[in-house]
Amino acid sequence: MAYPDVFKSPGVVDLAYLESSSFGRSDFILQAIDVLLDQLPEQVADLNQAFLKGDYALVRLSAHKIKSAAGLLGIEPLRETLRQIEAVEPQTVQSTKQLEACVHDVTRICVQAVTELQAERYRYT
Amino acid sequence: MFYTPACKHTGVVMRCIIVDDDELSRLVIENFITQHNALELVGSCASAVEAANLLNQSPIDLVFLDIEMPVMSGMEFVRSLTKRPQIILVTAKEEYALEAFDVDVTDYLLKPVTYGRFLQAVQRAQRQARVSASTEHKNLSHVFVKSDGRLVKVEFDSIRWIEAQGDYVVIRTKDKRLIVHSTMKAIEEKLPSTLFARVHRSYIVSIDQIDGIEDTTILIDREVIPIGSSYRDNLLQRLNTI
Repeated sequence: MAYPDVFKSPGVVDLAYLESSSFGRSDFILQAIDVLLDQLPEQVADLNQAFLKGDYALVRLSAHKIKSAAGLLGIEPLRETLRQIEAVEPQTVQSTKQLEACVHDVTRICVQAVTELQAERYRYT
Repeated sequence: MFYTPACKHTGVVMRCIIVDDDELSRLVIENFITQHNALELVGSCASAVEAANLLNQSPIDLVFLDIEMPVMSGMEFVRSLTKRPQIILVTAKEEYALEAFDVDVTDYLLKPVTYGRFLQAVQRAQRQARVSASTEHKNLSHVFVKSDGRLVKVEFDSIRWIEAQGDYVVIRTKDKRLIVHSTMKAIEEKLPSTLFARVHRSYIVSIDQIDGIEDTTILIDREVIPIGSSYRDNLLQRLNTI
């Protein structure tokens, strides 16, 4: 099923991958959006909590989980930031500050993505 | 995890499972598999532990496996398998490619996986399956079993059925009744899956030897063999019916 361009999101979320993987099944896209709306806020909360606790192994794990969603949603800048988080070894003040900035970026973009997904959801119902 | 009873194990349709702790990634691969006529989705597991249990219950040809999972990673899972189906790794990280080569996987897919790339991986798995099947067919026409203190050669096409009896299995051929100290699982693994079907917790039958089926029983040479309810669908789909 083709979706008119007028419905394409101008924001961070790009559903082109999910659409191309759906074989025209809007129920599949809806199901995927529902999973994302369910898991993305939880994953972002996990990332922030892990950072505040200084549990960097958990920070990397949370980033890895969000990366999967970012890939499916075509959020390229977020994927790059998440790669940086996965690679960071926060042994210095500088790297910890860098990590904090990355976590902040991820949180901001994911909050926007969730808002956009809620709007997108209505277009497939 | 969801699980469907074994079916269509014909050598043409590959029976698959997905192992990934990410629900969305599972959803995408599930959708790809359901679009493919030569693949049957048997189960979708959120952990390697669930997958290990499923592999013990049902013959699986192909596993779509994530690497980074809690408790047991995909690589640990692959290394833990004694009887290994084909493995296609599905991961968001490129750096496991070398390790993947070491454990001899069929293919390595990077998330997000496109359907085109998925198809390539499946075609590679199908090619390997054909090679394995032809090797199995060429090399194995019989099995040696220890019975009455000696090794006895049993041709596969002579076996009618096999039944469990306590710690033993009884192999029934046209003119022999061989009692072998073995489990059903162990003997099932020695038989070509294209020729034999598990039809009950205690029975394996040669598909070619079946004379008829009535509700919950099989008739082979006037002997009646029960069909377990969880094995019935699998059996019926493997028969050449009109």
